[in-house]
Amino acid sequence: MIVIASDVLILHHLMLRSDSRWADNEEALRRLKGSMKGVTIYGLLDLVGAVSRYVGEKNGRELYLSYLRSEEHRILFPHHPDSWEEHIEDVMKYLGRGLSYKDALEALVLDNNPEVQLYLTWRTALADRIPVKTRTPRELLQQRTIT
Amino acid sequence: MADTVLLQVRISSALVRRIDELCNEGLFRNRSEAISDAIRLLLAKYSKTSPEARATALYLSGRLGRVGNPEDLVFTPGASRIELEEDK
Repeated sequence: MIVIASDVLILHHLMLRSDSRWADNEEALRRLKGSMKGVTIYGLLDLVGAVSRYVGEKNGRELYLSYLRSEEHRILFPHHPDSWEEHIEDVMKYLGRGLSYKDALEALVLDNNPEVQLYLTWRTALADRIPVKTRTPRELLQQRTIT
Repeated sequence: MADTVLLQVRISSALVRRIDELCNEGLFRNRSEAISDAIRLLLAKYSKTSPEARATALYLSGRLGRVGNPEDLVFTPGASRIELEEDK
């Protein structure tokens, strides 16, 4: 399963047409339409925050509910730690790779869901620092054109 | 006596034993009072939660109906300049 990062979703939902990545972003999402995609709960909440910030809380909340109800998306949750001690232990290995806490949480969820094969993001710096292969939407399009 | 309704519900015998223990300790006069108090707590809990929190609970229990595609929901922000997080 492909997991879509919040940067890809923010570009799409806020229709950032002036962004140089817009066209590839849209085309990649269009090609993935109809297939089951994953979004981590942290990615979804990040998206909701961005949407709330720029187009209001009501739209952010509406978007959250629509992702939960989506037929095409699975929201991935982390294993719930029993204690802060356990949580610190869990995230520390990702923080040690230089990830921000937010990215470490995202990585934890990816690690907890073995069916995740690919993480779709524009943030190429995450490659080799998170537990799954990463691709940008542009790379995904090139790969799918070749194959 | 306040307006009451007779409600028949099935509760595990283990739970009933625990309720009876609380009644015997004098915390409640009878089972009805204990169960009414439990229901008040339940209602108070859910009256404080948002629709999003309740939907999350339903999602996690696999009881949320699935419909539509959220990617159809797009917004047009105002004039404010939006920059995505830098790649680092």
